[in-house]
Amino acid sequence: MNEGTGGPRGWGLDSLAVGDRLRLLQFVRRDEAGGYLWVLRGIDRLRSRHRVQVGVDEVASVLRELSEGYEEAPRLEGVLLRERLDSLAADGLLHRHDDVSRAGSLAGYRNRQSVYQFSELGYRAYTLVEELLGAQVHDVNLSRLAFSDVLEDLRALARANRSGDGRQVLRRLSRLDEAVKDMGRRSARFHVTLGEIVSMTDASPELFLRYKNALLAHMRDFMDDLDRYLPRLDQAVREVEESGVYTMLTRAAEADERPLLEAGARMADWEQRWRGLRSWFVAGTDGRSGVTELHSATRTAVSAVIALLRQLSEAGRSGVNRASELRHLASWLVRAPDEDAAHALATAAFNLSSARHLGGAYDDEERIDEGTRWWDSPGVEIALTPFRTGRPAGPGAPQPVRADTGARAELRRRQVAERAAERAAARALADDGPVGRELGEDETRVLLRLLTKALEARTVISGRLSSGTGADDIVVLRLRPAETGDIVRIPGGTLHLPGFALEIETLERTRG
Amino acid sequence: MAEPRAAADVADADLGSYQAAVRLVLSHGLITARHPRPGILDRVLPWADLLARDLRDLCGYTLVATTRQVRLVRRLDGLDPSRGRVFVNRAGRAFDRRRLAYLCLVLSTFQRSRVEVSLTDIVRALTPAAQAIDGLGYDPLQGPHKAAVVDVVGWLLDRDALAVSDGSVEAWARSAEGDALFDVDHDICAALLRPARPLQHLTGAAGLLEDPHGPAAARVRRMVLERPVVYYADLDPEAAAVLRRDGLAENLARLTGTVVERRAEGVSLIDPSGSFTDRPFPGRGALARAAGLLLGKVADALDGGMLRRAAGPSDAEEQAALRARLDKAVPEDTLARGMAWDLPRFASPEVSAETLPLVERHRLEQMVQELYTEFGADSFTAAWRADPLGLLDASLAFLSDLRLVRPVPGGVLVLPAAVRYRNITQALPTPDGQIGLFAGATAQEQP
Repeated sequence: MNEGTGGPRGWGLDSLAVGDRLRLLQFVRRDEAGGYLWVLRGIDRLRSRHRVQVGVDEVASVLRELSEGYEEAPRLEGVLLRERLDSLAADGLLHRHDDVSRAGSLAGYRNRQSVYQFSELGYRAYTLVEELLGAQVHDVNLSRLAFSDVLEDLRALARANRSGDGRQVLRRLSRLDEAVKDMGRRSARFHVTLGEIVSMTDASPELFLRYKNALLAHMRDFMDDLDRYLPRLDQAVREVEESGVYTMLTRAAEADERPLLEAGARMADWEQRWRGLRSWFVAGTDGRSGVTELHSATRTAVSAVIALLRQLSEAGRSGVNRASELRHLASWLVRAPDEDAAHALATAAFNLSSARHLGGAYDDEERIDEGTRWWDSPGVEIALTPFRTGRPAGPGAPQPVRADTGARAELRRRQVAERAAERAAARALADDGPVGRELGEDETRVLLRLLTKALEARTVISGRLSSGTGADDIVVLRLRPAETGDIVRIPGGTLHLPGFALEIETLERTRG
Repeated sequence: MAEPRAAADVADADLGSYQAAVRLVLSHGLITARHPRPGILDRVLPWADLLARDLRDLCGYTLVATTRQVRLVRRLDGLDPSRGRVFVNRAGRAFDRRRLAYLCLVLSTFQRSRVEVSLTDIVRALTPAAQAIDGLGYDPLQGPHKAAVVDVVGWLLDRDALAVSDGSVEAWARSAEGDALFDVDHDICAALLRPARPLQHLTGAAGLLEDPHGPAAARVRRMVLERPVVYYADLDPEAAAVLRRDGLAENLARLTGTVVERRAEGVSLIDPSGSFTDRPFPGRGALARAAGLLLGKVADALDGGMLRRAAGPSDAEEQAALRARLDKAVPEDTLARGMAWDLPRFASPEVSAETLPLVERHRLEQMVQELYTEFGADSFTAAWRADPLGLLDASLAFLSDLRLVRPVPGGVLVLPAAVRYRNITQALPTPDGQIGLFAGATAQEQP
């Protein structure tokens, strides 16, 4: 017996090395693999009749029997059959024993031959192959019924855990474990099979079209059920958790009857299974659970099926495959004698083009008679700038703003300084009055601006100016009618204001 | 038959907005969230139902509008090489045959319902398909082949058929390790190719077109709505009678917000907005400018009586020749012969007796040289500074697309509507640098 591979779990029954196990499948690679398979089928048939150890003659007769029912079953006898059986024994599929039954005569004893029997793993290898060969892709489905069972089991589990019924906990947990495994297996098979159908429909669109309605309805129903059950399943899992996960696992491990596992290993095993189960129904930290992934996988599958339907219906409408139509067009385009013809073909085939119209309408179209010839009608008025200069008429697109921060800062500084000087001048004007002294440059500038404002805002009554005011944010200037006008001395001259007196006050004072 | 009234249910206050939507749909066969510009889709969608009805009743067009795209499926009456403006790269250069073919092949690789695909995978799928076509092929070591793929992918990106989710096309073009990951929008990809009939059922290019003996009114409306000018000379008598009918063009003008210009030679819907076209004229750019100045020179020559008259091939003859060239190129081996359509029969074109003023090639070359002397070569942009003859060819093609001239061997025929733009001649400066707005004669005497 090999050591090491089996570990402490078993008694060495499981310890056949991987290489040896793979050797069990070697018969499918031999020449005439079908012949070997039929031999194994014969032995299997005998096994079902409780004939565990079989001789060559028995196998030969059951093969004869089989060949009556199945045309492809070979009739093998004698030496050839024995060779086959020996090869299978060499692969480890069969055990070969000496026939221990009583021969009864010397001649019989001398001719005593081997008998054959399936090895346990050999039988598994055989059933595996049979299962593979007999697999029906059409029986895949997404089981909706599982949801209600799962829900019921989860609730029962919570109840059993609360009431301390260890056997019930174990039974429900096992069933849940099976149900989840089954769901995983089914959905994987379903989506794999669907993927195969979608990728091979070039060969058999009819097959697909025949089942498309059932398929779409199935997926839609499944998704509806999923939506309905998802919150309830989540809730049920939380109920179980509230009843105490550790207690539940301990109970399950205690009730577990697997004799070859130690208690700690059983506990660890159930904990792992519960974790797997939980992750199916309750979203993890990333917000995804097995069920939501199944949901999105199914949605993707639905869209794939619809995409396929679209292509098939396109092909169905014209009787030609779109891809081959495009290849046909490509070939036509390449064979076109010149680029003009190719473009004419491409635009017509794609059916892509644009309307085309002349621009530049007459301003007075109605004045030109409909019967006039173009040759005799006047030319249209159009903006000539583009023709003259090559540049478009009008101001053109706005120019990009240049981000020249240095220059901007300098401008800003200057502006602030000017503004400050102006404010000072305005205050001085208000405080010292404009009359009876020579004004400075800044003061003059402020005065003139205020005067302009006052004159523009003036009220003229019966040909005479009555009064006027001009203000900025610091001071207000009033022109009051007066017999003797004011005279203001400014740098470089004298400003006469006949008939008016100047009043300048700061705004604060006015308001106060 | 009474003319179906366009924009019948649209309130006057909304008419401008509706007309803008009509112009957008007719100028861009496909409108998506980002193509041609963001925001366009939102301007068109509110009018989708009315638009679909009007365009169907008037022209037989189909407008497919979803919340994510608007696609106008036209009915075509003729082939038009100049509409290749649709297939241009981002620099505005028209696709060559290689790029057009790659576009088809790249689209064909999206057939599988994958939502995500990398550029490397696209090219991997493209390569065998390209090798299968004689004279195409794809070689990753050839720069032009890669550049063609870049242009095609850029075109699809512009139309929202693809969206980059990682990497970049430039990275792929630059190095062997670079790649780009795209999300494929299958709906838009499916909307891109909308031929009138399945292409593999067609034994000739005529299969892409409408039956020329179909209802004349819809055919005429389509022409007026889409072409810069419709000349009576290009129409059969029945269609010409429909076009002369009062109300037809005016109805379309109401639909589109354009101005009807009706003359003895034909009808034109003039677009004052300057946006209802793929060839803006008068417009910006060296080409539109040179074309306009050339028209001015031609008008001078006309006034001077220097041009002799000649007859050229008619519209119908040119169409027939184009169809014949394409029919020879039909790939027989991928044709689904068993399902072939009966192609619409076009009447054999009659030779046009009409004569038009002919501007000979040498005179055109002289004109463009004069323009370069008068305005300075630099004013024709860097691209054309040293290539006056190239600019001449491009301008003539531009004018031909606008149906203002018709190229013939040895020169171009001047079509009537060209003289609308005779005033451009007055833009030429006089020797003293003044603009001779009131002195056409002075400008003509320029050397």
